[in-house]
Parts: sequence; structure tokens; C-alpha cells
Amino acid sequence: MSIATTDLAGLVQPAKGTVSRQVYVDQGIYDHELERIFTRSWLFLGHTSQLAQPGDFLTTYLGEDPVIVARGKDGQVRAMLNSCRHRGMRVCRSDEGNTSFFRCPYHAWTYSNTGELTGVPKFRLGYGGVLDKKEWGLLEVPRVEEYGGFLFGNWDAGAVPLTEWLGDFRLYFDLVFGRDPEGVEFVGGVHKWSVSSNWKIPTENFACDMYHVAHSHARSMEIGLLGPSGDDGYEIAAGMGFLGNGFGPPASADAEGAPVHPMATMATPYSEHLAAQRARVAERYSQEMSRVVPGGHGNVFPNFAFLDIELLRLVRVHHPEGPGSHTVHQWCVVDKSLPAEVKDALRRQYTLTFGPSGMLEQDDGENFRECQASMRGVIGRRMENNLMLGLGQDRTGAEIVGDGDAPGAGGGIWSEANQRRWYEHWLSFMTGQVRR
Amino acid sequence: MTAVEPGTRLDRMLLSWSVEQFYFHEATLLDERRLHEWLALWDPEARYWAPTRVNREGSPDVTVPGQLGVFEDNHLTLALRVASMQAKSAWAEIPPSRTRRLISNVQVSESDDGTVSAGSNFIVYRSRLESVEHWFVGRRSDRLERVEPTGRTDDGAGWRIRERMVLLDHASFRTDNISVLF
Repeated sequence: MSIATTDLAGLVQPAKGTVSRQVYVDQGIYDHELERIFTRSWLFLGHTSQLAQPGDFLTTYLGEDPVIVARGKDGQVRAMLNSCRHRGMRVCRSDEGNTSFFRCPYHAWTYSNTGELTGVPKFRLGYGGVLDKKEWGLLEVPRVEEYGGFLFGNWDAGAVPLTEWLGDFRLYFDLVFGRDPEGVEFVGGVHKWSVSSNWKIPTENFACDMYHVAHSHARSMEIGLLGPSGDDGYEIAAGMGFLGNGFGPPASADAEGAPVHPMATMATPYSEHLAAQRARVAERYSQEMSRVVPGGHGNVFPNFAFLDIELLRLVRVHHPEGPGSHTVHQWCVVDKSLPAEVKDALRRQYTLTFGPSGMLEQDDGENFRECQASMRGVIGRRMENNLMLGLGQDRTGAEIVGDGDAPGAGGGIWSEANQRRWYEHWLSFMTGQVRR
Repeated sequence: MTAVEPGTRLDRMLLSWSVEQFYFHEATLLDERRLHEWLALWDPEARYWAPTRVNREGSPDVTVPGQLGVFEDNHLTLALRVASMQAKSAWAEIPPSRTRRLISNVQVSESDDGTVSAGSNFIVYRSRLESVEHWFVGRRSDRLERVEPTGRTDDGAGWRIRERMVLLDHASFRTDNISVLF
């Protein structure tokens, strides 16, 4: 399908609650996404706790483009295309480390950790000493900004500031990641795995999909790891962010507050910590607002996602990898102030449930792949997916939470209001109405 | 019957053979999804840890304890995994995958405390639904304990696993999920 002849507004109709399956399988639409969305959005790069010292670096992707994120010798964090300006070789092939320079393995062009070209072999004999090294440094991502330690980059020099991008979502982002005075840290190591599905399928799931939990993850309820979900909860979209969860007793406890699974002996110290955080949120905002702690599933458009529940907190990115594949990079996040044994318990619980071998993550990977596989055919791709859950039941954030200061809009727990809103953003980027 | 003299080459061959038989038995239990029998091979105080692989110049090329692992389990959480995999609603494995474990390069040495250190390479092949195919490759380092020091050790069940480190060779998995055990 040629994108020039595609009526995107006809394919994606958030108001009606339908999305054409072409958006998951069509190469032309995918290429358009890389151009239109991934070069103009704030994309997650990493967390400042991963780049504490000058020279610290990590490698990741912005869309399909490999980038180095490094704290330079001047203390500033930069993101640079991981591609030698001479012939394109990846100049850094490590996941992380500390270095003062990156030397290309091909012809040994050498760049400082601030991206400047500092070394060119045969500079005098071969280039007559006239090559303008200032012109041939690593390509720098023009905008890198931080919110609460979370670093995002944007290829669009004219993009709105990150704080404006997050907009009203900042309050919810703060409730998820900034509710402890000392802030969060990323546990060392990153989980990486690929799933044979379009990047939007898991993204919709995190943006969020409470509807799938009871059935997709039924085995975790069967064995008593999760309590059954009630009918009370929320989906809220604000700024470029999305959040959704159930209200009520934590998933790890029954209605009387008794633990439902034998891991509760590990979860209890964190439950107490969460209760103290809820009390602080109640004092600062209201009792109603404190019910948004922990915040549940979330997404910041386009591909940053998180999960904040009683058992764990995680952050992940769905890196696009062609229409039919994506690679997850995922980290475990803990409050810096927690005692070591509680951090250990949260890390183990994270791995057991939502790591690549996690008992719940296993279910999701199977679903995502099989969705993609059945939409590929010429008939399958002509169909529309149904995003009609909770259509016509939209409410304001203030009504949903019960606090006038709660921003945004959405619906109850059985709603796809967020996913419809997400596709409104998608459509405005894809049709050229860029937010800047 | 003549007793084999301890410490001789024949004695070491028998030890190695016994551990290999145990691993073949264990592989069969996992491939045949006899997971409760598999769980019974583990010591109640067992540790099961699989580090994440890291690309970097120099060492280590793995995460260290305290950082993220692919698995970080004890007997309780292994039991939870087994219960979860055998639940009626374990959709990720319904219909079940076909798995085949190949165990090789077994190297065994005895420790002074009576336990045995054993290393083994593995390939786990998973064929899922019609044509989804995944491979997991790596090496396991185990600490094994004889269940009956003087009894039969040739039926493949004479050992108990006290500790296992699974060194998976994948830095990024291309397998949709990891719903198999190693």
C-alpha cells in the first residue's frame, strides 16, 4: 500500500472506536511512522541513575536508529547517533560502560564522549590536514531533556519542551515515579527481548488494557498470586501520557487485607512503604488522589511504558523493528530510599512476574505474536480492530478520581478511552499536524 | 561384585556417567512436562539464578547478583512457576509446545564437602503451534548432592540439585517469551 493513496483518517477512527489492521502490518505505514512519529516525539533514553559519572554511557535506540547516551567530560548528557561519520560503522558496540572516547573499529576515526571528532588516521598524509573535524563529529540529537531523572531525546529541534509534552500528565508521572522524596533508581541490568508483533500492540496494552488481565493472566489468579480484579478503576489520558488501573484492595491481598500468595512475606515491607506514600499523597492532595498509588499501567506517547503495582515497578520501551517485530528494553525501578532487602524482593518479584521469563509476561508475548500472525493475510488486514469498550462513557479525570485537581479525561476500568485517545495522537502525527 | 576403588579413573567415570544419567532423566521430565517430578529433584533450600548477558569491553559479560537476572528463584518461586505452568489457564503453553533438550559437555568434579560440581551445555529447542521455532542455548553450573550416598545412583534419580546457575548465551532473546525451564 502506498502511503500517498492512503486515507489515514479513514483507517483510524478513534471517535468510532475502530482501527484498521493495516496500521500493524503495512510497510508503508510503518515507514511513515518512523518519519512522522519517531523523529518528532520525545523518546526515552535512560535514567540519570544509569549515568552518574562523567564518561558513563549506555547504548539504545531512537526508533530504529542506534544512539549512544553519554555523560561527557563536561558533565552534560548528550545523545548521539551511533554511526561513524566516515562510513557508518557503529562506533560503540557495548551496552554500557565508562569511557573518554569512542573509536570506530573500521578506520579508527575517534570521537570524544561529547561527540567531537578528535582523531583521524593519516590526517596530514591522506586529508592534507584540511578535513574540518568540527563538521564531522557524531550526529547529536538536538534536544535532550530530563524530567525527574528520566531522560528523553527528540530529533526535532523545534519540538515543545519535554515538560510541555508531558503536560498535565506530570502529576500522574510524579505519583508513579516521584512520590518518594529521594526519587527512584534503576536496578542494574536491562532485559531485552523481541516479540514478533508490531510495536503498537504492546503499547496499546500498556496505555492501558485492564480488560485483558482477568482472562489473559487467569493462571496467576488460579494459583493465588493475584487477587481477582473488581469493577472499580480508571483509564486516564492527560498530556501525552496514559494511566490505568483498578481501585480497591491491592492485588496481593484479599478483601480482608490478608495475603493471597506465599510471596507476601517479601511484599509486606513494600506494602508498608506504599501505605506511607499513600498517606503523604492523601495529605498533599486528597484521600481520593491517594488511590492512584500505585498507578498501574502507563504509557507516554509513543513507545515509553511502565507498570507500577503492589509487587513491582518497571519501565520499558517498545523499539520498533519493522511492521511485524519490536524489541523490548525493560528495567526494574525502585525507590532509592528503600532498604536493600526490600529492593531485592522487588527485583525478584519483577523477574518472576514481568521479566522475559515472567509468569505474566509469558502470556502477553504469546498474545502479541498471535495477534500479529492472524492480521497479516490479505483478508485479515482489511478488517478493523475494535476499540469500542466504554465508548460514550467518557468522564473527566476529576470525576474519575473524585478530586477536582485530577487532570485529563478517560473512563472507568472497563474502557478503551485511552487507546482511542492514543490513536488521536497517532493520527495527528501521521497526517502532519505535529505538536510543536 | 567388586567394589570400585575411590579416586580411580573408573570411579571418576562412574561418577560422570551417573550425573549424565541424572541430566538425561531431568531433561526427559521437562520435555514430557512432568514438572512436579522435576520439582522433586530440587533441594528445599535451592537457588536458581540466570544472569543477564552484557555486551561490554572487558569483564564481566554478565550481570552480578543484585542486578537483573533472567531467573532469580528459590524453591518457593520455582514451585510457583510449576503451578503456574500447569494451571488450567496457562494460555502461553496451550496447546503445549514441543520441547527437546540436548545436554552435553558434562564435566564433574567432587568437592570436599561431599557435593559435586557439574557443568553441562544445553540446547533447548521449542516448536510452538504450527511453525514457531525457538532455540535457547547455554551452560548450567550445578551443585549436586547425592540422595543416597551408598545406594543406587544409576537410575538417573540419585541426585538432588542444591544450586544452579544458568548461563544463557543470548543478550537479547528473540523468542517472544521464555516459558521454558533450564
